[in-house]
Amino acid sequence: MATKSPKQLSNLFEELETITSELDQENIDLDESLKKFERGLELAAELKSRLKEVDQKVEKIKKKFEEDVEA
Amino acid sequence: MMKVYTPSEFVHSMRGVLHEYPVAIQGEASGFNINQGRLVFFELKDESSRVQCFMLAHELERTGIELEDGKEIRVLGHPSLFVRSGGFHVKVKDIQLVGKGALQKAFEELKAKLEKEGLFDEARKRPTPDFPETIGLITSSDAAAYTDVLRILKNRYPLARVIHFESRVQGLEAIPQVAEAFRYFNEHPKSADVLILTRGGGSLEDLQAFNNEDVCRAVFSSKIPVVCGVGHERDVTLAELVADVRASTPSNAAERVTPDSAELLQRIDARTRALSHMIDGRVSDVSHEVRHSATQLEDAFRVRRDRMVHAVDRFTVTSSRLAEHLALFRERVTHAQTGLAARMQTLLDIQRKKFEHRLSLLRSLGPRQTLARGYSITMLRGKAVSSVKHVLPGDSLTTRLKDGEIESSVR
Repeated sequence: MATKSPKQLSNLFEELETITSELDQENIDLDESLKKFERGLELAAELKSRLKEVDQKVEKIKKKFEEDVEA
Repeated sequence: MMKVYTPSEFVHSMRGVLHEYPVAIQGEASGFNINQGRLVFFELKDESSRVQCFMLAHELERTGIELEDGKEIRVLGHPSLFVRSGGFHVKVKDIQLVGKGALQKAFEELKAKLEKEGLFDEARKRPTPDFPETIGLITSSDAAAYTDVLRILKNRYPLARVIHFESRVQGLEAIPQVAEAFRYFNEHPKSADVLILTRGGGSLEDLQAFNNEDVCRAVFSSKIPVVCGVGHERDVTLAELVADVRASTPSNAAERVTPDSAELLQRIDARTRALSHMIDGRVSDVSHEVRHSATQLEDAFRVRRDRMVHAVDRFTVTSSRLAEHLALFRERVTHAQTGLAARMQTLLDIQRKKFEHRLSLLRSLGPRQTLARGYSITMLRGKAVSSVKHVLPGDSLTTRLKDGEIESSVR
């Protein structure tokens, strides 16, 4: 199983959305803004690399369904 | 000897006998009518024969069947004779629909039952995850739905893993297999984030499993959210009503469980652009503030500097005025000095004249003139002797004459 699980994708997205709305407010100072901006770019890059994954993995489960045979 | 019956005895006796023979007859309903609101008459027929049927209106209601001519039905009851007319008929206890009608009726009954129990309630339906890690797919690999779903999942969101539980979805045989699929996923509830139960469209017979009570209950009690889509039919199956999300087709089911990667990538780019824009805005705001402060600082400095320059100017003016005063003063002093000197000189001259006059007076009165006439001064120890009594023999005397002094001693 890859170390990066797509389950974290939702967290990454949430974080990106949070940063976007935080920066939208006028009252953070410039240093903070720049830090968040950098983090935002990091997140965007990570998300993009994951989403560009093109291999689909399909695993098959087949149960044997026995026919009832009347004795 | 044969028993001789009266008609009523006969009818009564035959009714008793016939009552012992329960019977089921299937045929086409015909001549349906209700007499006096209570008495229901109809015939069951086939190509060769027809059988009169009779029941009471409330008994018909109890069956829940809408009886009409042409309907294929199965009747349960027993043969009998009408008391008055002796007419042969079947007294109907129960009616069942057969064929398509039966399936339809079963469907409606089960729907009502499940709805009443709350299996369709919106409130219990769970949301599906925005970014599923693993998708469970319950369908047959023979079904067109299978390839459709996989294709759409791959296009939209290939990074999700798919676990395909192979199950028939056609006819009665599908029922235990679909139920087994849900049992499997319930036993491994962490194996998938969402389940898709799907097949293409079909007749009521084809879709039986999706209208089956066991399957519906399995969908309801699934620990993992279920998206169910049965394709193309206008009528909804019960499994779709029970599922957390009802999709209109298999493809739609695949769309509902996944985000569109392409759209997401666009959204991320838009976010990135928005962030850059915001940062630019902040930076330009801050640089405006800085510039503003610098200007203010400059202004403040300039004011101070101007004040100082002004003060220096005033000082310069004042000090040159002062210099003027000084020069003037010096002139006056010099002038006064000169005047003073002149006066002093005048005074001095006057005093000199006075002094010379006194001096000459003094000179005339002084011993020198006397000495010049031949007189002398006798001094003892620097003092003039004016009497012989003041000297003693041996004293050293100095006699001053007009042209010198004589040292002598007393005898």
